[in-house]
Amino acid sequence: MAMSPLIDRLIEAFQVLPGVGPKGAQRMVLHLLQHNRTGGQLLAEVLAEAVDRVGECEDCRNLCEEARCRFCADPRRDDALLCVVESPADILAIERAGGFRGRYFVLHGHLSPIDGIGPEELGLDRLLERVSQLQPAELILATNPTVEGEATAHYISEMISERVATITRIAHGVPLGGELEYIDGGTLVHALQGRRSIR
Amino acid sequence: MTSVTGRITGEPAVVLHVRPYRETSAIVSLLTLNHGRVALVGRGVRGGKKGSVLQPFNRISVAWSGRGGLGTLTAYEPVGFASLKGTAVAAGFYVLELLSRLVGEHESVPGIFAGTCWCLERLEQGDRPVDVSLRCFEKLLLEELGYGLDFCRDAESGEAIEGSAHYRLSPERGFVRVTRASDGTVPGSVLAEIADESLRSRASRMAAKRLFRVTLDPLLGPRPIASRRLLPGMRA
Repeated sequence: MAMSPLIDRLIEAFQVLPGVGPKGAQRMVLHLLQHNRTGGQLLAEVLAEAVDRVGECEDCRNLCEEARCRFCADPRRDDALLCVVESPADILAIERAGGFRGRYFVLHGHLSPIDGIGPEELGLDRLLERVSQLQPAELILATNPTVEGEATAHYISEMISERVATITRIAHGVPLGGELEYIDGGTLVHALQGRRSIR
Repeated sequence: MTSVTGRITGEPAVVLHVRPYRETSAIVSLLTLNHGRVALVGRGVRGGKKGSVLQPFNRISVAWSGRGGLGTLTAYEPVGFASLKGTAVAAGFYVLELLSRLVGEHESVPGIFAGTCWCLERLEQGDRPVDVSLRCFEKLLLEELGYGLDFCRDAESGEAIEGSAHYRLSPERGFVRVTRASDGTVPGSVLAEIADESLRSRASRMAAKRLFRVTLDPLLGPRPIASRRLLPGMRA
């Protein structure tokens, strides 16, 4: 049922968000218009400003509104460690977990030949530039443990093998607090292949 | 098994590609034994406990509903987890990309299905050089699609290929004997190595690569094969 052209346009516009369908969009729009117009105003202003100003960090391609993101600008971080991730959300996850004080590089995707995404589309030349500039002692490949993520990690390791002394891949296997009985076969195979000597 | 309601159960399949769709769903592209290439909507299949099952190269047993077009994935179980490493992954992507581009939807392709499983197993075990496995796969795929080359007979005279003679590939006909070796001609002994899939010499591997490439390219159309850029020896 149509409300008015402007409201309908707004409801449609809200559906660009992931996980928001027509029903959810309608609820959000009515809430803003009925109960929280100041909130709506603020959302509109901040959104317009963010879309206008947020770009990619010139060093690591993380999203930020400055020329360099806070992780690249922070002088206390360790230049000897460079961690390659698929998306800015992965940086947030690693930062939330804590324990990593090195630099990052964001690929914004992974190699996926069937979708036509090869090394050029992924901008791997930018990663090469970053490695030459930073000269890290270790490159950590933290792409997702999917087939495409593995292929991407392998390709990068081949491409960079002569420029970095140590290239590592994040471990994958049984999650902490997990029980072997309930782990799927694929993960278990990986966990066994990637076993580590403890003595 | 197919029932009258358009439901298929227990169908052997190889996962070709999984494309994210909405929050937790995915469009799953499969090569199946009896129905060729199939695209299915898998609701809520991403990120769950079975997330590692629907990954490219894995063998699964699958059930879906719907005839033609985009079906609905109703059940899937792992049959075999592939663990390709290094260059074999890029080679495996090449196999999947060829299948995605050349195999028709809902066509029974038992020969191609068996060949795919065989090739992925070779790549996984690494018991033969990667390029040899790929050439054998290309040979089988072309044969199954009806574009196979006859490496044993002269297309003009019908005589058996002679080891010491030289041959040129004539498009859409086959190999024709030429009087002298020149650019683009292949010795009969090399053709024999391709015919029996032994590919022992470097010359036979180079020739097979070139011959299959010129035969495959017209079938693939103008869009380049992206995985060739990931394979060290195939970028040229």
